[in-house]
Amino acid sequence: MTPPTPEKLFEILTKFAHSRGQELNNDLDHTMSIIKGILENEQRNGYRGCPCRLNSGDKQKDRDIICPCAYKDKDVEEYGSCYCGLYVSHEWNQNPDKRVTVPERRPFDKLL
Amino acid sequence: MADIKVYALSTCPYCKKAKSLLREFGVTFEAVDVDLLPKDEQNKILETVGQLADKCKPKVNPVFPVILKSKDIIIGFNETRIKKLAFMPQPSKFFFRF
Repeated sequence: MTPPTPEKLFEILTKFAHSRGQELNNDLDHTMSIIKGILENEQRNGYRGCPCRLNSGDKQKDRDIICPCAYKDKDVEEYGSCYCGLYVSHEWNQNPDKRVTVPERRPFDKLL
Repeated sequence: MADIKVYALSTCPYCKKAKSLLREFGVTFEAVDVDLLPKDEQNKILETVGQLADKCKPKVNPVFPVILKSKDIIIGFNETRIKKLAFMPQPSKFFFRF
């Protein structure tokens, strides 16, 4: 199966985000950079690992960081944004000055 | 040798922003894209990054980018701290004895 283009994946993920009551980050440069990073990891490892986390190459070991990651909904709920800044709340998109850095929930030992 | 080292991920936009900020400030730095390294080198760097994160107060989960300048460490993307680090004078190599 040929992977989608970044633009096509952007459309798919926009619909998915809305279906969850969320949005994609309205900073298009950032969002497209994230989507390209996801597709890069899919090409390298065969799964859409989070581009802001070191992917081990082991799909089973990294199942919690396959996008959308296991931490996304909690992060969006608490910080208005997921860790890498792809999925966000409507309020987050509307209030740039209230944005905070999302701390990493994933335990470090999952990387080792 | 560059006085700043950056551990990054080639797929991460925050890592790209950190590097472009440092370039913008005209700072020389050495960047390592950890995700492009062989496994054993990745593990060595993860160990280093883990130890560095343990030193941070409050303790933080090690994430990328990691930016090092002599004893100063920035873990994660933080524009304000990157700016401060970039313009911080390098510790003087001359010792004055009285």
